[in-house]
Amino acid sequence: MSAKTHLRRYMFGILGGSLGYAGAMIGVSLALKSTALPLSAQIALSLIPGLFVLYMLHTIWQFVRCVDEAQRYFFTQSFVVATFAVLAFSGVWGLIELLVDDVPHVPIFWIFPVFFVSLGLSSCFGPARHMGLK
Amino acid sequence: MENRLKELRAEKGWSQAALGDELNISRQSVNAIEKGRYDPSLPLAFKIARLFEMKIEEIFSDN
Repeated sequence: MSAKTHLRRYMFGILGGSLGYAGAMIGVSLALKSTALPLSAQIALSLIPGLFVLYMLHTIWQFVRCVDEAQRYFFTQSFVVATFAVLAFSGVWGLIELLVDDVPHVPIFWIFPVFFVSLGLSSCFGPARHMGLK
Repeated sequence: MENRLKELRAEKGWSQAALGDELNISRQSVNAIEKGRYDPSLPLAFKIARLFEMKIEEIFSDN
């Protein structure tokens, strides 16, 4: 399979997963607000957006395994940058929340949007910017 | 690490994409190696050397 096909599959996977995640979040939120479901059904419904997150992580894993060594080198650096961004965001904000009473609470689910936005930015403008993801 | 990949590719009249096809890597990866942003692994360096029928040290140098 060519490098272009790997890239296309990756882009469609991430884009489709992101749209699915957003759609599932909206759909599940509306469903949980509008109907009274037993706790088990609420938990089951709440897991649906997570399936799209797992799909996107799987897409990333497949992509890193399939591309050539130079692409893998640069894209892995982008993933590390995105991971550092998430760790910095969650770690620093978590400490602020722990130490200061009057700051707004940021729900933990924001970790994945922050990771994927960071990954997108670091892929386009970071170490992998010359590798054809833009 | 420096290399003569761009010069050798030009001698053959190949594009980066054509060289990438020969080496089974992407055009962007060929560009990264030519510009010195990425140093190829030993197996890839051997593949490049075999393709140009040269020794690795005739293509890559650690200057």
